[in-house]
Amino acid sequence: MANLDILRRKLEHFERELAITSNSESKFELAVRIEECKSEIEECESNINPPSSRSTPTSLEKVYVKRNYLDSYTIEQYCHQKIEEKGALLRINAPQKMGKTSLIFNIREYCQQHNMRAERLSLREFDLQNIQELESFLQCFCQEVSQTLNLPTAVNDHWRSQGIAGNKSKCTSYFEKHILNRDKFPVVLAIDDVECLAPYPDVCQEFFSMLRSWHEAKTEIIWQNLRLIISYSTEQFIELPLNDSLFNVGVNIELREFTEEEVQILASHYEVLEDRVSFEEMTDFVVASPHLMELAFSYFKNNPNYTFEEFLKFAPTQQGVYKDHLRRLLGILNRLPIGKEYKNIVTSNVPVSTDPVIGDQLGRLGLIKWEGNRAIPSCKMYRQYFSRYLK
Amino acid sequence: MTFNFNESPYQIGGSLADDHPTYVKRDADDKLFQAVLMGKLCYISNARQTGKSSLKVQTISKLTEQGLIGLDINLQGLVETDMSSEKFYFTLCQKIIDNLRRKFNLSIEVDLNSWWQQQSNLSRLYCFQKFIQEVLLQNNDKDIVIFIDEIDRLQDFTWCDDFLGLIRSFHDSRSTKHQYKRLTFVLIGVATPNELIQDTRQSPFNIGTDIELEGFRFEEVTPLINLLGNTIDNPERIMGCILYWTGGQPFLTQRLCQLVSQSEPIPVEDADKTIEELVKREIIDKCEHPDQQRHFEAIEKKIVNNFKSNINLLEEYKNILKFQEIPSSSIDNDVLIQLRLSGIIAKKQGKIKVFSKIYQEVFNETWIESKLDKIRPYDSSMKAWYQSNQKDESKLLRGKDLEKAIKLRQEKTLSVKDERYINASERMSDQRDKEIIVIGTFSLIVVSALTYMFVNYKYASCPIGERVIGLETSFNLPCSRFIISSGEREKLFISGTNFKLEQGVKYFKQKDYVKAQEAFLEAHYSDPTDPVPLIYYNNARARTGHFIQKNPYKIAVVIPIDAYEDVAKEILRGAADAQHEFNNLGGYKGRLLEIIIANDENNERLIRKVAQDLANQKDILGVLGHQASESSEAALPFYEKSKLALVSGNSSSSKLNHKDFPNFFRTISSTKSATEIYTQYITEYLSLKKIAIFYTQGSLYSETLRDDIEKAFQGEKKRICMGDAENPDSKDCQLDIPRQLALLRKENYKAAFLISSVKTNSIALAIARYNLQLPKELRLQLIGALTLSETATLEKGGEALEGMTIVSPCTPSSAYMRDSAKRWQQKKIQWRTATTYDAAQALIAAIKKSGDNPTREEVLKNLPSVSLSPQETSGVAVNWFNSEAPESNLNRKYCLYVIKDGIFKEKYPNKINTNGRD
Repeated sequence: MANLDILRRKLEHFERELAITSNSESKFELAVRIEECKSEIEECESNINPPSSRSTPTSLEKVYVKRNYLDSYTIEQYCHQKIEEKGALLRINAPQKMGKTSLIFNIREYCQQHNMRAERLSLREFDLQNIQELESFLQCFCQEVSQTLNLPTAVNDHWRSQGIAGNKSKCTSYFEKHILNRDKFPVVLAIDDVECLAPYPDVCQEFFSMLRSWHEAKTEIIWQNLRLIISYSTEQFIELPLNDSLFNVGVNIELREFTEEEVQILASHYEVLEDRVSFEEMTDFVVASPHLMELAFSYFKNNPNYTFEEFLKFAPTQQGVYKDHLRRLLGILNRLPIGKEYKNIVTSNVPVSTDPVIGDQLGRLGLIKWEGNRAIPSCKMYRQYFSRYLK
Repeated sequence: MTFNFNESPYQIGGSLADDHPTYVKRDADDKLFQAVLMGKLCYISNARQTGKSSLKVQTISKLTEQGLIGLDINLQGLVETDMSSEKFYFTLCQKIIDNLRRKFNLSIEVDLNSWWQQQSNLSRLYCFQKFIQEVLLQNNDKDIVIFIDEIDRLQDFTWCDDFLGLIRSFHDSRSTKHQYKRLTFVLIGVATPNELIQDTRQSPFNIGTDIELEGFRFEEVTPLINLLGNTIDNPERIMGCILYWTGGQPFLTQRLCQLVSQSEPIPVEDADKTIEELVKREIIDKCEHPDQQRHFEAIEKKIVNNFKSNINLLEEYKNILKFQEIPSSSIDNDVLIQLRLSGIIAKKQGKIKVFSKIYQEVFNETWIESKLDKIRPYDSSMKAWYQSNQKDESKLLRGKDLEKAIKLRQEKTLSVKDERYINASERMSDQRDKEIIVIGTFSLIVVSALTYMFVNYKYASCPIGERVIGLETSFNLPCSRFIISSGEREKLFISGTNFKLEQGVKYFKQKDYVKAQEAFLEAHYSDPTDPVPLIYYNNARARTGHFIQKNPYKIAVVIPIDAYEDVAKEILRGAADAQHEFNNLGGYKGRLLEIIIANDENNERLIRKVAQDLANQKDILGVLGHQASESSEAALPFYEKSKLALVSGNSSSSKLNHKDFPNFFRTISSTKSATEIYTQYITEYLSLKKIAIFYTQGSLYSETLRDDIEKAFQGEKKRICMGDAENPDSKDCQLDIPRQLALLRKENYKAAFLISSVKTNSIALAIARYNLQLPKELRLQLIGALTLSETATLEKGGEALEGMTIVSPCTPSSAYMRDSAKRWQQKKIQWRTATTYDAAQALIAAIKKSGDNPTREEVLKNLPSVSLSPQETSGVAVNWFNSEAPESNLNRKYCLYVIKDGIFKEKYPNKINTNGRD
């Protein structure tokens, strides 16, 4: 129940912030987080899933479709090769539910098989009060890293022993002394849900500048042993002062939607075959993100009599397979001025010329596609659902 | 399992390792290495992604080979928001120890925590200095080079100046302290020297070596060619095409090499076309691709987010883009620096051009216009106006739009085009208002209409809320403002607006001195010619109480703010210099100096009020000023009563003497000394037996000088009253200039001495103008008094004053004169600034002599014994009581100047003999 309390506190905090802020970018971020929080609370209350596993794609571990990257190599292979490099830095970014966390698990498994210590650390699991101040955040960060890697923790002692030094410097020396110095095995640290820092720009800026300085230090052997994976959702774009930016170094991994063939491979894992579903129509009707595809196919699998026609009919309603997903998006749109603009887009038969800022936010939610500088809904389902329900 | 993605060796973004195969060696490599070996302080300030950090890595590695120690301090991982100076210095020491241990295997046998605690009685800055001196330099005997990367992170910290000042002082002390010869610093970042440090006297950049990074040249890129060579027939040819597009910009060059190495082999005969297509397809059309987006974004932000001058930067860049290449002299230096630091332009052999062809395409005309359209609210109407050849008045701004634009003009540095457009709009709107008034006036009966106009005229020059009525003495300005301010008053000078200054005043009034300090400092940066922001800044600093006590020493400076703006500024600059220097050195006994600025307008009634007020504020320890001798005379009784000392750099009347005015001191010599030069000039060099003297009745200065001259000059003299300072209607002083000049000519006078007072300068100008209208052979040689040596008068006088000679205090060049000119961005520092600086230094010296808790009585008592060497002043020693004129400083001599081309040219008497008579 403690989790539920934290979630409620978070929700309250975000709603208060939303009421007072006037910056459209912050408003957008807060609206996204409010809806996330709400669905987490719902999940928690209905006791189906503890919230910490919200983002853990249990079913996807069984069904994992590798995506093509270049010349028939998969994105996974590319990541595996890159993570072997000394002082590697991978940045994974995509909208939510595009399979970022799954990819991290995939890389983690590979690393563990290849004599590396590899773990994932989600910033979403940090308590809100620990994340707002740099000192408590970095302490908490060190603590969590030690714990997930199964190393003894010595955070408080270390902090004390460093006297009045700066926090970033303390955190850095903690890694040197207590994390990287253990043995000769490389440490692969995947920091997931980094967008959680977005509401705290000070912490965010300092944290990233510290990570950047680690990356710059890779001429030293000890820092060559650290391999970082940073994963963040593009829905919450992190605006950073550029001179500290971590985002012009390392390798950028952008996850895109499944192609028709990849959808087909996924479906075959659920024993859903071409005679039951038209994959061409499917990818046209719904955004082919791993999560949405998986939801549909597991439903098909569990309800053998369910037809594709029924799917097409009910999906854009309050009762369909995607009701939670759609309600979350609806909640965000109804809170923000971009909702009105989106209504124009879904009700228009032609592409609509859209203000770049609004378009950018809609794009990050996966709601639109661009045709030149005009926007259209990213799939048929969105057009049908939002033209009906959006205020 | 082995697979290969056709991985390319090129690295885009991030610094290259010291053994990276694609590192390109440039001229800057050798320049930096040599400079560091010679122990020179170096700085590399350049745009992002131009190879600064890679150069650092290379240089450290080369230094290590030579047996030196190169310490790499990256402030990115060290500096945090709101970091205190103590935390910073401590962490810095820790990083240095750590660096030595891990990279050079040198351990320092000091427990930093306890060592630091032992130094708790020292200032943090000194603590760091001690660490360098007693710990770092004692630890080994090698030469040490400390590289400080991402130096711009220090920008917002109050202690940044101190830190950089210390680095400079390490270098300054190399000649005296042997061990400092082993220590060198290299500073790296994306900031101009001026952006980092406000105080030019402290700046390490005055003495450092600037390492400029240029684009790769073809001769330099062999390593990149060799790597291309694996897959391509004629790699040199391809590389030529690559450089054509990238201009040698390191990031773009690496990126394009990478693209080439990943693409199909390029046929040599189609190289140009293929590369062009590749660039267009993969870079220009995909400038939002994550691999390159940040690079372009950084450039865009550096320009567009520069709130103060983004419009100007864009307009200038547009110009460069249009003409391809412009001489660097044709562009403002600040703009040049900003554009260069954004990375968008390159400067080569005095020419400026867009850094690369790729930038030309990405940041093209459309891009510029779209940005301008966003920033400039009146963009479209302005363009339409220019399209109509500045004729279509309907395109000019009015009402709210005009107000907005005017506000924008106050906040930003706009381009010339913008200024012209807004000015035209303003004129247009004024005209409209006037028409309305005229129509309104006609509808009233004649008498009331006249009254209305008269009232309006009377207060026309009063700013809102500043009407002072009842100062009925005749020579009063229509508006005299009572001002006594340490930081509470904005708009001391009505002309010009300084947004940050107003903001600072707001904070100052709220007693938020920390925020006030920041705002004032920015205000100073926005307008370095105005001394007020710097004084306010130091006042806020003095009240903050950081590491110091909160009760500053207070002194006042009295000036005529509105009547003689230029003079007032000159005086304030001297005071500001002394205060800034004093406060920078940590004050005295933990207390800083506060300067209260007061306005006397050289107006007798205001003088009395101000003097009374200052006398009543018991914590004021001394007063600097006043300008005019008669002003000092009027104020001195009040000061005498309350034992307050007045030190003037300006009032020269010999009637202001120690016997009659025991509270009065001046840092110049009196009219008596000036008289010697005047008479010498008249008798020996003009060889004249007779002279006409125009004087001002009721002005202490004018009458004193007249008397002194009459006494010293043996020939015939004719006394003519040019005006009465107290009673303009006085019967004796009704001067008919043309008649008087004709009369003088008839009586064979060849020269006239115009002794105007601060109030009759205009009459002197009128005389000069009439004189100019005479045929050349009939003109009088004019000799001016000190009062005329004032910028505004010079400007107004123009041609009429050409050739006039004036005796005013000499200003020998000195370190102070140079530094001060730099700080205030003046071509030359005026004598009033120098003499006021001396006056302030003398007051400070007296305060220092007056024990732990100085009172004004003690300061007054100690002033006579103050003695300052030329190094402690603006260049001329100060001492009193060594002659027949105890209150004057006879070290400050007078020199003879002649006005030529609108400025003062020094003329030594012996040279005048040959060409003086004309």
